[in-house]
Amino acid sequence: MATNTTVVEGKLAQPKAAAGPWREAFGRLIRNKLAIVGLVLVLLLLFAGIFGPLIAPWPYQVQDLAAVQANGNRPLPAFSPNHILGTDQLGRDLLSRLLDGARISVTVAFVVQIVIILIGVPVGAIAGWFGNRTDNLLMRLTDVIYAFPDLLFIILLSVAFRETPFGQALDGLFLVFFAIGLVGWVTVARLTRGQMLSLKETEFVEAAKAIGVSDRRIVTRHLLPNGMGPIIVAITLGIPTAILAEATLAYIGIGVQPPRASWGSLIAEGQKFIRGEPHLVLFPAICIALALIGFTFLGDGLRDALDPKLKGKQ
Amino acid sequence: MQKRLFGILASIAVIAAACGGATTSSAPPPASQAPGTSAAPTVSAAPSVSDMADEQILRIDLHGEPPTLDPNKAQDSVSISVLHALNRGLLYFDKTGKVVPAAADLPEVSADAKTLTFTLKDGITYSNGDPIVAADFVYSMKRVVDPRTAAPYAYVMCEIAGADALLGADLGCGTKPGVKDPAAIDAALAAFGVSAPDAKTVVVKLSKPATYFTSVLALWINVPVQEKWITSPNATEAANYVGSGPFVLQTWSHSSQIILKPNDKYYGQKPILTEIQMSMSAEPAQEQAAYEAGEQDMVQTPSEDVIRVKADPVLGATVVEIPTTSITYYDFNNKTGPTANKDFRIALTQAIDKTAFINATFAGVGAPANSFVQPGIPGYQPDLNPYPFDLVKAKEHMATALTALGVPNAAALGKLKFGFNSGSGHEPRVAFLAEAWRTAFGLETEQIGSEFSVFLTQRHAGQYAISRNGWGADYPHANNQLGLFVCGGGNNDTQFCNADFDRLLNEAAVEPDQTKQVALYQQAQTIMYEDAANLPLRFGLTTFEVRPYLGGLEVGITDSQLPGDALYETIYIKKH
Amino acid sequence: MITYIGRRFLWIIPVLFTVSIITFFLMHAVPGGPWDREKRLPKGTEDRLNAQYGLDQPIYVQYINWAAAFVQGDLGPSYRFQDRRVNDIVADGIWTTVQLGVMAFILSVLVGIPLGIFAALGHNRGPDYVATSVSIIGIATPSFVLSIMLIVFFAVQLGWFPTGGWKGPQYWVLPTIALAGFPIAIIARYTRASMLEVTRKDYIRTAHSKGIRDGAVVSRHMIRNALIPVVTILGPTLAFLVTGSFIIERIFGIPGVGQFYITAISTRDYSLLMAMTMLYAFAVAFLNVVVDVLYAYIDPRIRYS
Repeated sequence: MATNTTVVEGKLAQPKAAAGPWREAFGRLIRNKLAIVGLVLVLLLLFAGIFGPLIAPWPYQVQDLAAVQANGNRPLPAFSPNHILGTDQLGRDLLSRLLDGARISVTVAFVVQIVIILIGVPVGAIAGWFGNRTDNLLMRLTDVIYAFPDLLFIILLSVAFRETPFGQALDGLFLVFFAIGLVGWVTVARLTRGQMLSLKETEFVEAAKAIGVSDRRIVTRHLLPNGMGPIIVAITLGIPTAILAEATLAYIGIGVQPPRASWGSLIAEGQKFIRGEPHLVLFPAICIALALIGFTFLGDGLRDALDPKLKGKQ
Repeated sequence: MQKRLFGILASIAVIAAACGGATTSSAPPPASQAPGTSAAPTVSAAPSVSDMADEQILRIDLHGEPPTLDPNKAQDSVSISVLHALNRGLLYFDKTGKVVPAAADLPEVSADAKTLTFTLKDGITYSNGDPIVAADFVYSMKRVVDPRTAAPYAYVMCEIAGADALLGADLGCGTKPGVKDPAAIDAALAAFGVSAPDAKTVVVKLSKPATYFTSVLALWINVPVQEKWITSPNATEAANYVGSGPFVLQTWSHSSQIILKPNDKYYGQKPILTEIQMSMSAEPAQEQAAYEAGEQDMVQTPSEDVIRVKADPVLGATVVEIPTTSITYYDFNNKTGPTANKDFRIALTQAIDKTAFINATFAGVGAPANSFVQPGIPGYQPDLNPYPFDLVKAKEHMATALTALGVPNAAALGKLKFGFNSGSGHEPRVAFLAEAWRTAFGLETEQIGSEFSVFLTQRHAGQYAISRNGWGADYPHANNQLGLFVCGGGNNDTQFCNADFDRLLNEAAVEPDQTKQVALYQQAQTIMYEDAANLPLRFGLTTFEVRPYLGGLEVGITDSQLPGDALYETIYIKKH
Repeated sequence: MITYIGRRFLWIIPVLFTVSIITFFLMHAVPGGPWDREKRLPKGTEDRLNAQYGLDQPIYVQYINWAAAFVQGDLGPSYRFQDRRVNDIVADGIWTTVQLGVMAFILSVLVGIPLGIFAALGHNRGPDYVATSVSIIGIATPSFVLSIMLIVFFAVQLGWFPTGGWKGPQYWVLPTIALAGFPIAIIARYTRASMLEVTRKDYIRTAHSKGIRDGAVVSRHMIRNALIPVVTILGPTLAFLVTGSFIIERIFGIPGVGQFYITAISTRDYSLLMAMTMLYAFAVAFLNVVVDVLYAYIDPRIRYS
């Protein structure tokens, strides 16, 4: 058991062992092929998000109506001249709009998850660790949140705050992400609590207590890092889910306003054409899928890399 | 997993179908019948037996669950399309919208054209065998105008004597307040201008000659209603429904299906169909798929599928395009902001190529509209187009406007608020207009898509500089069109206010001569559009797919959702 | 344990109460009302309707009236479907929604858990890639798109199933698959993650080193322990399936109650919305209790005082 404590301690404090554990973790990450694929995809996403407008062939709102009319009023298919991924019914280049959407998706990915982690993990950890009344109260709170009419809440939030600086931030998106995060932290909280419940009875925790390690230390230094696996998964899964949530909201007019496009709003617009021009749904969906693959593999790789139990295996 | 938020799809169909935002909401009757002349009821020639399929079942879709089948209270196209089959009033329409006899012959009109006397036909009964009596018509019409019923369409009855006093300005009639307390209401109802001197005679007294009024009496709200039926619990459920039309409500599985069967007690043309199965789909894409899979006999083609369907060899052959008396238009806020400036509005109007607009956002379906009153309604002015598409002139007008507004360029105006309801397919149209204005003038707009109710509230409060709007005729008369824009009118979100316009409308309302009346309406409309009050864009034209084996379809402007649905009794299935 | 369960169930009442208050006030705070139409009703008509439905009274009075009726089992009249009472609307559709949800749940579990185990056992090899890809497709595809694809392919082109409706077993297939798509993917991912988590635990190594055969290790130790996070997710998954199936119900034209959740918001059908929210809140709270009890059953290390 002492081994475990040392390893866990070492992970977070300055290393006393030979090669630093962060370096070891990084090494493990690099050797994980899937994780590299994930990392590459995430970096691509970040790149597209940051540099998108610079590399896009068209400004995202320009309408190449002449081309659409020449095509019989139909959106242009992929591999059309000047429009490599085709256009929508107004002649707006799909690739350019996907790149604009990348910016939004990147923001969604980070802002929402940060909100969720900041609220969900502490709540779940406290509930799981202290148990009894605290646990009960917090879990009833999550019940209320779960049952919450979140759409109503979000509509209200957006109408009430739309005119304020808070509501204007990021073209109105900040409000949306905040709202999504605000109602979405519950799953992470419950997961954290679940992990806490099962882990707090384990032997190394008893040992740590016996030694006299403080509660807070046990939770933050021992339990959380060990229990992070499903939590990391929840977060990596949460990102495309947040992207889809943003899509839903864009669909009912909350969030990114036209003519800007997020991947979700592109899917929402494009799905009406799914019979005749499926590329309008296919390409945004592929983007979301790639983002998911990226974050998933990276998340898995991170979890594997950070798991102290694997130290021996390498 | 985030909660079910990600799964929520407040979709097109939801908002559009639930709120009727994009569909026309009633059967518009035709040009009014000159009183005194009679018209033979239109009876289709019966098909020969050899032409008919063995199974005479029509399968169609209603687009959703009818909110109510109470005839006096219904206001949306889903309910109305079913009510047309279940009930018929004193008069009805043929497919051209001409008023024809139903439960009664055409009325005797008094010399001053203010009293209509109807004689009911002999031996007519409800679906339950009870005789249809004049008192039932009186009860029904009084129920419509009774403030306690809060019937949405009470306002079409304003021309009946006593309506103003009863309903008042609050409920849509006249300028004075109506009555409030129950005793006063009952007294006003007793004085209301509809009476039944005997079991077979219905007398309607108007407060002024209203030449279109027979059309109003043919609407779905003015059918006979038995007091003992409608006041009984669950009256409108299938087991209890008492109707007066060609079909009876055999089954109503809520949110699932309605099945109609012929009413063997119906006094008019007997249906040829043995059954109508009406499904309730809220999703246009699924309706289209159902049609393609052979499960439906008619469908309204979703606009995004129009081009694909027309190009399809099999489906394209079944396409039918039907004009609807409806118009797509966009409001300019006439009261506040840059759009209150006339040159500004003219500039915005002249920057739009309406044909290109329709091509890009309506798949080329529909005719450009340059004024409000739709084709088929007296008052339609095809030649009224004071500000046609012309970028050069548009920029000139914009320059004039900017000088008057005291800004150097359009960008200095900031982002104008451009409102629309999201989830109903308006995004491309809004985007088209916004982009046209941006490229023409450098004018920036903030495109604000809101949830339907929120959007309506904000539009009505004048929160948008430009907003999306639309109108479908309730009945084919110019006062149902231009009457929207009287100063302070409840539906006047354009905030148009012009004293001459109002005066002309008031004169027209009392003008007995049809031609003169139309001319007055046209003058008023000219004033409105020389002022570029709002931006009319497109007259409605809907694409449907109809199986070639459907016979006897009387397609006309009286239909509410599908071709021929005002006259289901004429439809039959050919051998196929 | 019995007292624990009893207390948990009792806690549902204050939870429902809180949800009802928040929802009620939120609902009335959002702009717009049940009578909003593109063609505005005359003001007097709106006033009359408001009076008829008690909307002209102060909010707290309306809430008290609603709550008083609710505890007696009266859900009120529908604002949208004016001839019907919410009790009837719910009664008509609830079993259909439950049936659809349960079928999708069973399918999700039957497919999702094995998929996750399969991926975990073949960690970072072929099976993992396949299972993970399937998961990804399931999550990235919005259920609307999945539904339409299923309809077009299986109903229109192949003609194996009807495009919509709910009139017999053949109508159940496509909606169930469409509804289960996302949950399958989620369950697979969580199962995989917690299986992998557990593989590394000491007691597994101990079991291995004792020579217990792989199969036995997998089935008894790993699965049992790996199920904890999965059980956490199953609860809300089931709740979602039961009442959040409204996309599916809308698209396939299924007469359940799920379809009303969003339409009640957009049509401002206050009583229907309250009923749907209460239903959902009850389902979630109830299932959470079930989940917590299952926790204790699966993981003997968890103690509840």
